[in-house]
Amino acid sequence: MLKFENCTIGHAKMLYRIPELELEKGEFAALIGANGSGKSTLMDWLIRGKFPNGKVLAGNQNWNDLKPVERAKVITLVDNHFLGFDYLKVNEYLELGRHTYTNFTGRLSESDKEVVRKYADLLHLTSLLDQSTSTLSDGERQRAGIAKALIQETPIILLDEPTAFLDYPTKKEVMSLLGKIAEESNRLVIIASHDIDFCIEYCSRMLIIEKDTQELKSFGKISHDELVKRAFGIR
Amino acid sequence: MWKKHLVSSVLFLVITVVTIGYPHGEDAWFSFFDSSDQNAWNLFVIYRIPEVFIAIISGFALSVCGLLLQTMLNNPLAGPSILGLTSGSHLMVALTIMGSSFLGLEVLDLGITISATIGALVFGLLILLIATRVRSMVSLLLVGMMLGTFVSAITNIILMKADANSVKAFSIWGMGSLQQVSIEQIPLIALLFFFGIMAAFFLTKPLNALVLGEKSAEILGVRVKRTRWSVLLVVSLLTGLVTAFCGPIGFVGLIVPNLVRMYYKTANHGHLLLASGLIGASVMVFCALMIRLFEPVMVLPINSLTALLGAPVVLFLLLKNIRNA
Repeated sequence: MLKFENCTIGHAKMLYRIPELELEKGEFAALIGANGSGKSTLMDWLIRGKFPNGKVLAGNQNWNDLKPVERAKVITLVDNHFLGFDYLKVNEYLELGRHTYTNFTGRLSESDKEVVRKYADLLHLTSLLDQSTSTLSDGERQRAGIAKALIQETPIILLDEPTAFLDYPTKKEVMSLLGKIAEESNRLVIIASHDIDFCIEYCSRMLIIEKDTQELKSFGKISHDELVKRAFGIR
Repeated sequence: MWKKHLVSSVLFLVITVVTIGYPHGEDAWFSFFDSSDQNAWNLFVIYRIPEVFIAIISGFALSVCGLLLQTMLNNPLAGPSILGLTSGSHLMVALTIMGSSFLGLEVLDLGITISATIGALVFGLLILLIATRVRSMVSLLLVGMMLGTFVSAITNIILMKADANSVKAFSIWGMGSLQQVSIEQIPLIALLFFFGIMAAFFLTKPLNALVLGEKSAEILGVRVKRTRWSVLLVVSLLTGLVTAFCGPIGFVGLIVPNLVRMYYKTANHGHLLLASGLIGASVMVFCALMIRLFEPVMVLPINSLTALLGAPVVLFLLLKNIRNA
């Protein structure tokens, strides 16, 4: 599904290398690393298709060669910086997920609207559709962001700090939901997170930016101590 | 939503019909159904049609420009005049008028429009460059004002060297007026306006995505750079067109999209573009009516009128944004 070979991540200086990594559909992966280690940079490069070296492949296609519209049909990102606007309704926000599938007018077809309804229902947002996005709670807003990503129907979903600012029960709810999405709708879900205990509990794959080797390494199940040692250098 | 469009359309039609019919000075109301009074019909064709026509065009165009800039820069306080695009047109028109007077050449309407468009484009590029570095709404506003002051200084220096007739023509133009357009100029203005507005409507889809910011738009597959260029070209053409024929008109492009968003409560640019156009046109036609109402007492420059109506709204928006921040 998504394959990395000899990539170097970092703008001005190298932050870490990805010697070899292959991720498959149906996996729920957590990207773990210290602050400033380059988690968001990797997500940003995946969204913009800007890998200056190495090779990144989506299936057989070179990642950098994908046009923006083609890339938007393969990958999406749930950004937790969106705070909502008074004049942007939840319905309009979710409908933006169908952006790549509509013609130049942006009008949604009946089947597009059906997709929006389906995922709004799945994430318990149906009763909020006419509400302004600025009135949503943090948890509701996070659910709306995930719904928009699902509506985009991409096989890869990235989430940057999806559990930040959420209380304990909502964190559990969001992580369980993401695991279910990866498994049941056969998508590759990658989250960048500092909630390592939740990641250990829910994720099937741990992608750790090792502090000592400055390399991204993949693990299946890993203990808390081992993870902390590798990611933060704390013994 | 269509009910709100109906309300806006009715408002626009009522204001337009009243403005066309309202008498100049001691004259009687214009009668649409009585074609026997040839004098009244001549006045209608020579004065009222061009005046109301340019009021509609300028209000529609400036409000659409304001909406495009506000969405592109993610800044509700953006507008063609406050960001200095109108100042750019102002400067280029000054250079064209004074330059052609100095060289003894005749200035064509199309020439003024092209120079005003180039002026808006150059200043638009400048503000776009600055906007990528200055994220604060208020700071960008200050940059726009600074550009305006800079242009005024250059214009004043140019005026010092100009002959009396050019200075007078330029000063009258600078105050803004809806009465400078003749019936012969209408086809050219209508054609350029049509191109600009059609191009703006073709930007509906990427603008909808840009509401969430540039990064989110990229996630949705929008070519952000291309959209930015397209917006800048459309805004420059429309701002240049209005500035060339009416002089620099402030505030309309800033306040109307904000009022429209408050009333329509939507982020769909298909609706917002149409609504901004209709409400903007209504505001400018209303200004034309106000000018005629005050005509027996004094001649109100359009620029002062839009500033009187717009400044309190800008102040309200500024305070609202500071409170929200």
